[in-house]
Amino acid sequence: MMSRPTGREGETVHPDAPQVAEKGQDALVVDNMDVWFHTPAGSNHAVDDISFALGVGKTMGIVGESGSGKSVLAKSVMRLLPARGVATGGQVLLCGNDISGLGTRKMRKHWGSEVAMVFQDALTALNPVMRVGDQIVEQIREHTPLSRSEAIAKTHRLLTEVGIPSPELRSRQYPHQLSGGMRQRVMIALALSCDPAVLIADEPTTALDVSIQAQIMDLLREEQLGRKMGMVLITHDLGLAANYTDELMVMYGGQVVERGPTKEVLAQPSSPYTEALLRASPRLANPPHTRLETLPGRPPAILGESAGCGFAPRCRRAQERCLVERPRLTLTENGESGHGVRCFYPVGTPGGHEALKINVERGTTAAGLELR
Amino acid sequence: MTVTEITDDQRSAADELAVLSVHDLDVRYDVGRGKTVRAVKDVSFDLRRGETLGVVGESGCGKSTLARALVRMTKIASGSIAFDGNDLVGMSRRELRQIRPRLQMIFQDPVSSMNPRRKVRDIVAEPLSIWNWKTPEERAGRVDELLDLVGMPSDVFGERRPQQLSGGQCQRVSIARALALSPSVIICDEPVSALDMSVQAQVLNLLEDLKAALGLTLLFISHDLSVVKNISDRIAVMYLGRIVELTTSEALYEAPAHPYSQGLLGSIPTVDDTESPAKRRLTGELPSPVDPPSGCHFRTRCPFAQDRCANEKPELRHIADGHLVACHFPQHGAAPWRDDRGA
Repeated sequence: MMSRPTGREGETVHPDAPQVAEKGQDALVVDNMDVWFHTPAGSNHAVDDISFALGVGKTMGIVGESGSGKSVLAKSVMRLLPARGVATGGQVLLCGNDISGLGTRKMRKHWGSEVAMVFQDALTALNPVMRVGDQIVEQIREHTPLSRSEAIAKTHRLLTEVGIPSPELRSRQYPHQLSGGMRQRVMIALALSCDPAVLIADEPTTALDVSIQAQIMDLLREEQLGRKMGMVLITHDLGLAANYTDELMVMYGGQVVERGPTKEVLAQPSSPYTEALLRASPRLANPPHTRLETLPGRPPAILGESAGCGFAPRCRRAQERCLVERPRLTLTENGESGHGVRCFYPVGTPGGHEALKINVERGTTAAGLELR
Repeated sequence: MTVTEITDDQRSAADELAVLSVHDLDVRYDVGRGKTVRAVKDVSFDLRRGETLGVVGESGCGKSTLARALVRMTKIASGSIAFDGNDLVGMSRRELRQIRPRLQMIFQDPVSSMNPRRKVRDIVAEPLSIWNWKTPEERAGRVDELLDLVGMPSDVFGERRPQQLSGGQCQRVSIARALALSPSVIICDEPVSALDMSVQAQVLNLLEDLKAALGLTLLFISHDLSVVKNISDRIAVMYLGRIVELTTSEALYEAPAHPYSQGLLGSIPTVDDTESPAKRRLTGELPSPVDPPSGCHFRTRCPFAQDRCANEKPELRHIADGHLVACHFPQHGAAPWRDDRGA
């Protein structure tokens, strides 16, 4: 069992002391996670049977469009979802400890010191009526035995570390007095303040300009490598995922439709959805007026318990089987890398080729989508 | 290499091609305590008939203010905007009304730019009703035609209200509305920024199709350089109210000459180069627009800045055919932002 951080020597431990327990153990393990939202209109299966393991010092990317369930997954891991109207299933192991089913009170000792989160909108995530320095000091005092002056010193060090000049001055300011990039740096400092083993970053740079995004992402990577911290990066930006993650999960309608080493998934996508996403994104390297391949329709708002594959209505390869049977996440041919796909007719396989050919010949998919 | 100022001859030749010609445009906002922000300063460019001109820059660079100034939705401090030979700046409200059908705008947030209580059919018909275009029957026919054009058949969507539509569908409706009076120029202010990737591609393709089918001229504003590069023939890069570089899409990507353009390109993570995120980055943050640095506004973040940059404002000048740069020390050679020298 892993011990709580109470026995730590505080100051001297930083910066290279992750909270991870024994060797070879994964920082975060999620097993068969399910989340349902109960609404008057019916139950919405927002996260559907997701499992993954995040190694120490590794980055897992989760990409998907809005409504794919990526943020719900993160909040569920953090146990930040409201209790009312929400049902969850599955197991979450954080540094070897089972935290599934824990309530807010019991989660407190895990938040910050074992798992921390960086949110998209720092202005709403930070307390608007509290000086930013005090917010970090409060968190350090909550989780470590440091004295107030030690905590203040650590806060200043953290602020310097995340690239905030004159930390003594800045820590006395309120969130609204800082620029967007500075606020995001403060939130990162706050998240790192108790040396978490796992950092969950939910669209950490979406609200920022591209030049600031690059700075923040470089900072996150640097901190993550230096601290051997596990990171979950949630984003809708494939380019960002390509550059800053080791492993990638592609989500659609609450399910993981493809997963594997980032480079492999993006270079040889196996799921028709991943392929379509890649082809729909404009690329800098392409000449102007390159025709984008579009996905018909739009991401599902609420995915009912459909009998078949959730992507079938928009998929060019959809066959009759896709409408009646749900595909499982299975390893691809070069599966030793852990590359898995949830599809009966994956891209780049004879079966997938055949399925596309059949649909092109008959001019329509089994789901009734017309192909030109 | 010779550096040439823009000559009057070149200017008048360009004017013939230009449907919208902007000279020394200045827009100022009063920010209280006697301070003003020059959100757009000394901006000059030509929008050529039939082209798509992209305007790219980070927040606060003045790109949206420029868009609003071009349709006179905001007060213009000085400068001129010639639209089909008419000067928009000196026009009365009444004269402007006569011009506006030919100069339309599409906004970033399609949902809030539409009246939530009205039906799609009525939203698209509104410009026609205001202009009392033909008979009500013909107007209804025109609405059907417009909605078909943007892929939203009116028998399916005509009776719906904006809240019953997705973001992409709302953007299609606002495109249909902008097209109602057959404009020659459409100003698109971040039209796809609020949309999901798969939907974004649909709307971008739609804009390309409509442009080709209707012979439109587009001014396309976005913070997303990949999107702008894909849709534009030429691109203007803005920084703190000024255009710092203006050239073709290919040239901007292959050989960006302004250090800011290079940094901007180097900051974009792409799927194609997963190897090194260690491209040339932009350091520091945007200075306050209330009190921008003297001389070249970019000098505080520029790796090549010299004393001259602080004292002398760089003018937008030709460094190659059709390639304008406002920099005392423009960078040459093949896309230096693509190597990792700046790592």
